[in-house]
This record gives sequence, C-alpha cells and structure tokens, in this order.
Amino acid sequence: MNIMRQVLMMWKRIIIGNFRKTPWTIFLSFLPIFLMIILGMTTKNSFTGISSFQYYGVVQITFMALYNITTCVNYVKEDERIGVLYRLRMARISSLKYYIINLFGFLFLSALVTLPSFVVSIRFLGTKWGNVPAFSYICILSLSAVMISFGLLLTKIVNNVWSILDIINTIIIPFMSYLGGAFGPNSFDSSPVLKLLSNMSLVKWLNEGIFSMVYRNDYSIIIISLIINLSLTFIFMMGLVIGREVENKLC
Amino acid sequence: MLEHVWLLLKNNLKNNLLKRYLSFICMSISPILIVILFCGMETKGVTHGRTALGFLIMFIFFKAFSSMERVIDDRYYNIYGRILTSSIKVYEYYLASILCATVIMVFQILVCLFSLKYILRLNLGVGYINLFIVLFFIGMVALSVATLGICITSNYDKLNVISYFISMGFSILGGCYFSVQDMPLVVQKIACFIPTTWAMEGIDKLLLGYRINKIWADILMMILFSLTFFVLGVYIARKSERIRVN
Repeated sequence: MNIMRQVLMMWKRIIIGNFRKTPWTIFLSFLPIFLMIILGMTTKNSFTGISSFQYYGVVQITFMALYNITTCVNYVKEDERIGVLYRLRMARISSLKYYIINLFGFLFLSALVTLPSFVVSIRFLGTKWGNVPAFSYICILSLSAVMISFGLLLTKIVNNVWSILDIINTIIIPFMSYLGGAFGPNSFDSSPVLKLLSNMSLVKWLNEGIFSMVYRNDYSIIIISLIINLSLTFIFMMGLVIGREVENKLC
Repeated sequence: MLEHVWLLLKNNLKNNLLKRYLSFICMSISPILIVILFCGMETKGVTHGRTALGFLIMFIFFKAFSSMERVIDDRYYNIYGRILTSSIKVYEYYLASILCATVIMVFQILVCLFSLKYILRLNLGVGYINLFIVLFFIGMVALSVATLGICITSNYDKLNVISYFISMGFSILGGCYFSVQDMPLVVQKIACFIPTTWAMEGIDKLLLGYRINKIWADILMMILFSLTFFVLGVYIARKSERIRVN
C-alpha cells in the first residue's frame, strides 16, 4: 500500500511537473500537428496513391516520439540538481525503483502528450491507423519507451549529459528520422551504406510497419518493430541495474 | 563604446566556442551529414543539391537561436544585471551578442562549405562564393529572428520551442525541402512572406546559372526581412527594459 502511494506520488510529480513546464509539453503535443498540417499542405500535389496527410500524419508522430529523451533527461537532471535523489534514498526508495517508476511515469506522460496529435490526425486529417488504432498507438509508445530508457541510462552513465544530448538532438535524431522518412519518402537503394543505416533506424521500421499494416493488412513488420523496441527498452533498463550494482560495489 | 563591445564579444566568443564547442560542432556537422545522405541517394543522375542547401538553411536557423541562448543564460544567472550595473550600456551588450552570433554563423557556414568543397569534394552546382553570399544574408535573417525571440521571452525552454516552430516552419514553407512551385496556390502566396523563400529562390537562380548580380532582388528582400525583425526586436527590448527600470 505504501509502495503504491509512493509510486502514485512520483507519477503525479512527473506529470504535473512537466505540464507546468508548458513550453516543452506544448512542443511535443503541437509541433507534430503543426508539421503534419504544413507538410501535408505543401506536398499535397506531390503524392500519388497515398494522401500527404496520411503519410505525414504517421511519420511526424513517430518522429516526435524520439524527443521524449529530452523531457526525461531534463527532469532527472533537475532532480539531481535539487537533491531529490538523496531525499528519496533517505525515504528508502532505491535509485532503481526511482528509474523504473520514472520509465512508466514518462510513458504515461508521453501517452498524454501524443494523444492530441493522434486524435487530430484521425479526426481532421483523415489519417488511417489500421483496424485497431490503439495498437498503432501502443507501438508508438514502445518507441517512446526506448528513448526514455535510453535517456535514463545516459543520466546514469554519462557525467556531461548535456553534450551527449546536444549530439542526440542535433545529429542522431534528425539523421535517423530522415533515414526513417520523416521529411519525405526516401529510397536508399543506390547506396548500400545508407540502406544499412536506414535499416538501423527504429523510426523507419515503425513507419514501415504502420503503413504495411494499414495498406496490406500485414502485421509482420510492426510486430518485429514492437519486439525490437521492447527488447531495447529491456536492455537499457538492464544497463541501469548493472550500473547500480557497480555503483554499490564501488561504495 | 568599442572597448566595451570588444570585451563582451571576446567573452561571448570564448564561451560559445570553447565551452559550448560540442554544440557548434554538431550544428556544423549535421548539414554535412544530410548532404552526404542526399548524395548517397543520388538516382538517375539527379543531384539533390538544392534540398541539401535547404537543410543547411534550417541548421543555420537552429544555430542562430542556439548562439543567442547566451543572453537567456546571462539573464538567468543574473550576469545581465551585473554587466549593466557597470558602465556598459544595454545596446553595447546586445551589439556584442549579435556580433558574436554573426561570427559563429559565418564560421559555421565556412566550415560547411569548406568541408563540402575540399573534404567531400562535392559539386553542388553552385559557385561556393555566391553560395556563401546567399547563406550569409539568410543567416542575418536567422539572427534577427533569434534576436526577436530573445526579446519576446526570457525563458530558455520557451526559446527552444520558438526556435523549433520557426526553423521548421520557415524551412518547410520557404521551400527548403520541396520547391515552392510544387505547392498549392494558397501556400505559394503565404510563402512570399517567408524569408527562406527568397533565399531558396536565389539559390534556384544560381543553380540555373544566373550570376550573383541577377539575384539582387532576393538579397534585398532578405535584408528587408532582417531589418524588420531587428527593428521589431529592438522595439520590444526597449519596451521591456523600460518596464524593468520602472
């Protein structure tokens, strides 16, 4: 009972704390809508067979899921700065428990933040998400889970996390999302290196999975993508456990 | 006055290039990676130079905002207040910040163009000096927009959000990813009020083999846009400074 109370308190803190920091929440909620609309409008004449709103409705939401890493790192670093971690340790909440609660808390936050763009894409832009839209939504959340767990791991193992975050935000996310088709449909058949890189992009698998599910009723790619995402989340969380054990031994 | 500006400029440059060097490197490398990506995608002899340059413009906007973040940092840590209690004037402080951002932006453009020409040995189909001129002027627009941004808000997170909306909005509507001519008529009309449209139009003309003197109208439009944003920024800054003093 006590544990449940602690978990609920921490989740409340994550969700209310982040909604109070409105700019970043607005960013994650409304930038995909903004991009879906303007990219859909500007490329209306360039798409054949599939509507531009259908394409960008999917790829912009998956693209924004990558930015969950920033929210998560900002929050944990702020907690470190104001000494929340020490206070939690005094309250006998282990750092591992803190990270696991944070993972689910941020996942819930991500679900709330993605919801407006998801609803707008269905209601106003006519984006199709397959027979069961909730399944697509869960798959998008699995990508968020990878980014959140990776962010948590970074805060644990890297001292100067801001520099790494700079690299992630300005190089890795744009590059991977570009390879995944966030700015337009791509073909990398002419370059084997780029084809290999694009196959390493989680966004590409998710986008392709959603499109093949919607248009060909083929669930195989989306299930592979879901398994990859969940496995990566598990690996990153295991990294946190190992990091904690090493830290305990050093202490 | 010059002594104060030089002192502040030196300090800002030291902070931006030595302490935040990673951000600078990232912002310079990203467009190069995108260019490599485009060249890797080259199919049927069609070069994607235009879109690669469009992405470079987007990153110039991002870097302009990131360089001006220093002002927000100064306000947050009360360095701004301490600087202004000395004999340094408000305009000297802003001038130094803008000059610092200009130097960084020029450096970023040069690093990109140098890497494209001498390291990657790419032929984008445009003369590199002409390209530098167009990119410099769009860089000035980016700086004026960033100046307006820091005058509107004193919150780091808000500035980040503004930077994403403006950089991506301007890039898409200005035809950095897709040509404006392929867009619907309504969007084409809106695009006339976006500064990046004029930069891309200039680049398009250069790609068609026009000389730099044939694109003076596009450069003039960019200068007008940057002046408008600067004046608007100065007006808002003066107003907020007056409130702060009162």
